[in-house]
Order: sequence, then C-alpha cells, then structure tokens
Amino acid sequence: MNEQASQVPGYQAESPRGLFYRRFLRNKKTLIGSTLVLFFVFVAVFAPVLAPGSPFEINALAMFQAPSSQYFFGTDDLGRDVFSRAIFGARISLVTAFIVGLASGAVGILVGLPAAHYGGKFDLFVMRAVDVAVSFPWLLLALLIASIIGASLTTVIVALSIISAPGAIRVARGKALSVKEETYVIVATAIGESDSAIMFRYILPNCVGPILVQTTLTMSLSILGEAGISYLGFGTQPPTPSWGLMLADATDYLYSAPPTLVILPGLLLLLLVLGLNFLGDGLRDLLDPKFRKL
Amino acid sequence: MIKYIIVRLALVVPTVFLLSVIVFATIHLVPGDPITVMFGIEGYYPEEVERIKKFYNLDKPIYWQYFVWLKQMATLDFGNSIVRGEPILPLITTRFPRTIMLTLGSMLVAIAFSVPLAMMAAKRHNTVIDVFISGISLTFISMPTFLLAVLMIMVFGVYLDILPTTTHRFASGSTWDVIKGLIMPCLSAGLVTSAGITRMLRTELVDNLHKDYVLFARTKGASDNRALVFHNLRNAVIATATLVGLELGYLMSGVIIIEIVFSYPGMGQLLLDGVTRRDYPIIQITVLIFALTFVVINFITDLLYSVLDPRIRYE
Repeated sequence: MNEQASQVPGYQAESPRGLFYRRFLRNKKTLIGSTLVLFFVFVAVFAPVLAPGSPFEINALAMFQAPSSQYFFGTDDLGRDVFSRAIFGARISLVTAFIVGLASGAVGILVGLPAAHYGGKFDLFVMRAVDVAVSFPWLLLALLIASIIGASLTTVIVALSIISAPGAIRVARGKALSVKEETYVIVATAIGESDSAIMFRYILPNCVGPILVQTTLTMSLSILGEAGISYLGFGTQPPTPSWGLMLADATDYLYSAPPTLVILPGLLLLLLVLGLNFLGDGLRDLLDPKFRKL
Repeated sequence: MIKYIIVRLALVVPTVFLLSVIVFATIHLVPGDPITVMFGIEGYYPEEVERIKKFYNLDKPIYWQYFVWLKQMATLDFGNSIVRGEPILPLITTRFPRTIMLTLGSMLVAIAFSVPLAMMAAKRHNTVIDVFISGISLTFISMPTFLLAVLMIMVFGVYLDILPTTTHRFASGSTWDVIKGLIMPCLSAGLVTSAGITRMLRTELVDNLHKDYVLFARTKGASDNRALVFHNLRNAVIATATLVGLELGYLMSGVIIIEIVFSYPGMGQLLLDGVTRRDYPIIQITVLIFALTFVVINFITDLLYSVLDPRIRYE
C-alpha cells in the first residue's frame, strides 16, 4: 500500500513529526487542552497589562464590594480588586507547575534511565524506594517539609517536586526497559558506544512520549497541590496573590462576601487543571499505541 | 494464603522502619537544636538547658535516642504536647476514630458513585451518556477537594441553610447532628475520589467487553446486565483495586484539608495545629499514625486483592 502510494506523482511520505502535529491538531482533547493552557500562559505573561488595577492595593472603604464596572468580580476583605488578583494568581500556579514538572522530569530521567540501563541491585533499590514513596499521602510530606523549613512558595515547590519524582522515575524506567531491547540500542552497545551515549542519545529520545504525558499530569497535580497547601496557609504567603490563598480568604467570610470571591479563583483553577488534564489525556492517546485510535 | 500474608508482612517492615526514621529525623533536621526549637530558650540558663537535655535524653547518641523514641511509640507513651501542655494519648484516642469515620464515609461515597456510573458509561460506551460521565469525571479530577467543599458550604450551608457548615459541636451533638455534619465533608472528599475510580473502572469494563469470558457468558444466555455485573465487573474490580490503593493517598490528603474547611475535630486538625504552632511531638505522632494507617489500609487492600484474584497469591 505504502509502496504504491509513494509511486503516485506528487506524494510525499509524511514525517513522523508532521504526522504527530496533524494528529495533535485533529484530536479534540489536545486541541482544547493546549488552547486552555496557552490562554493561561498568555494571562500570566501579560498580567500587568490585562489587570485593570493593582493586585495589592488595599482600600478600606471598598471592602466586599459587589461586582461593578470598576471591580468586575468585586473586592475582598481588604478591599483589593479580586479580578486583578486572580489574573496575577495565574503566575504562581504556572511557575509552580513549570518548575515541578521540570524538576520531576529531570529526576525521572537521571534516575530512571540508569536504573533501567544498569539494572541489578541499583535498579532493585530504586524501585523499592519508589514503591514506598509513590502512593504516600502527598500532604503529609508537604507538611513535614513546611514544619522543617517554614511555610513559603519554595516549600511548596520542593515538596511537590519530591512527591512527583517517584512517579516520573517509574515511567522513565518502564519505557527505557522496553526501548533497551530495540535493535538500534543493541547495535549501539555492539559498536562500543559509552553508557551515557546509549542512555541519552539512543534510549532517551525514544522515551520522550510517556515522560511528556507524565510531566503534563504532574503539572496539573502540582497546581492542585500548590492551591491546597496555600489554602492551609503553608504555601504562598500573603499578600502574594495565589488562587488557593484567595479561596482561603474567601472561606473566612462566606456569609458577608460576594460569591464571586470563591467563584473566580475556583473557576480559573479548575479550567487550568482541566486544560492540563485534557492535554495529558490527549497526548497519551496520540503517543501510546495502546490508546491510539486512528 | 498464610504464606502470602507472611511475604506481604515482610515487605511492610522496611516501609514502617523507613517511615519511623523519616518522622524521627524531622525534629533533628530543623535548623537549631531541638531545645531552642521546642522551648525557644537559647543558653540563658545553661544548667536548666542541661537538665532539659538530660530529661529528653538529648545528651545521648542519636541512634540511642531513636530506639528510646521507638520504644515509647510502641508502648503508646506519647508524652505531652509542648504547646497544649496536656498528654497526647487522649487527644489521639478521641480524634483518631473521627478521622477514620470521615475517611471511610468518603470512601463509601466514592464507591457508591463510581461503580454505578462506570457501569452506566460502559454499558452505553461511546454514546452521549458515556461522554457526559467522562466529562463530569474529568471535571471532578481537576477540582481541588477544598474547592468542592467551599462551594458546597456556599450552596447548602449559606444560601439554602439546610446543612451545618462546621462540625465543631461534634462532641456534644446528637447522632443525627453528627450524621448531618458528616454529609458535606464525606461528599466533598468522596466525589473527587470517585472521579478517578469511575474513569479507571469504565476503561477496564469497556476493555473487557470483548474478552472471552464475557462473550461466553453472553453466549450461554446471560443477559447484558448479568454479564456486566457478574462476569465483567468482578474482573474489572481487580484491576481497579490497585488504583484504589493509590487514590487512598490522595483521599487522606483530601481528608486533612476537609477537616480544616469544616473545622472537623480530627487528626488532620491536630496535625495542622501542630505544624502551625511548631508542636513537634504532636507533628511526629500524628504523621506517624497517618502513615501507619496508610500502610495498614494498603496491606488490607492487598490481601483483599489476593482474595479477589487467586492468581496473585501464586506469583
């Protein structure tokens, strides 16, 4: 079939990359997901331009204002503009997601690939440790770290990176184990390539798919994690605008505050995480043959 | 079976050991020495500091301290809370059952919602109903537990005013008050958990639809529903049980946050209070108990898993 097609004049075999991009744009999940995520990246980058007011300016005469043309989503307990704060809040969520995703991805590759490549006792030890850590209640670890180094955004990022690393290691190792058996890796070993070349030039490029999916899902979980830890007061500290913190403030005044105080940060949080989950799900559909629907 | 239990128990031991070391190490990882951290005094009264150090065995080598601490934990000698100045054991015995109640209630909600929904989606897979259930599941997965809780408080507590928004009168209220107070906390933690289970169970059920044993059941005349419940579900549950173990970690984290949202007087509140006020004995014990509970429940899940699927025992 392929041979015949290639003889048709003007036919050009599509590169794997081209195929991926075409599928990416055709898949509803990846399209919705990436649109939502790009929207939030845009909001975070241009926050100072988009926000109508300052996210920090306190106005004691304008507490708990209902939504109006001046304050689109009302004001909070200190008279600050909720809309502006929510826009700036996108920055905290995205920065957390980005750093945690990068850190856990890097750890996954740097530990998972050698574990798969060298095998033996090292592999056994790594996998035992991962087994213990992978399902441990994330909040306990975050709180332990907060009790040691104090509450801050750094605490959140460190805690979430440690928590998501085992999952990343497991995924990278699992994929590397199957790639290891491919002919090109065996050939590379036969012609005497160094261990690091085999791991990072031959195995790694073929593990990118699952690692990317895992990283996307890690990012969505870390956004939820940041919001949760900040909600409890051990993450981002006031007056920095974080969605979790805004929700915590609103919870204290549910009887007197306008409902937009909860709805706006809650909705943005939901949409960003939903976008990342859609993107992760869609990428898995595209990259994992088991899920691929052509 | 007994052999399997012993093997599984042998795997639990290193986990528990590791946990205890991590928890014990916490206080020693805190910058500054424990006396300063705990009491906020720094060498003002050298003899007094020495006396306290001796009292808490801090003048002994670290591994010795660890074993003493381990022995205290094992004999339920939890000592006193530094901030509250009261013994810790009664605090734990009143609060621990409440947290277990909340966790079990949430798990019940999760299962009660996910199993029927997953079966409905699988039965009508790739129809509007399936897509709708998948959409709802993905939305709940993307939602932090506390957001759902706050939204529920807003709707049922503040606007409709039909459910209590806090559970702080837990101890004095009647049974009905307790149940009413538990509805929203269990729903908010349970629904988020149910979303993940629904998705997994639905995928398994759909995958199994064309397996031999389901087709065989259909051939011998079992109805669609009978094949789904007795032949398909039974096998799908096995694969999903692994996920339930993982979800438990998230559920527990969710329960801790939920306790704060509803001022629920459980272990989570105790832990959070401990972290806020730097009450290290409280932190150590609550974290240890949470972690141990987690290990025990996982162990039980594992055993149930092997009862459900005899193949596992023989691997």
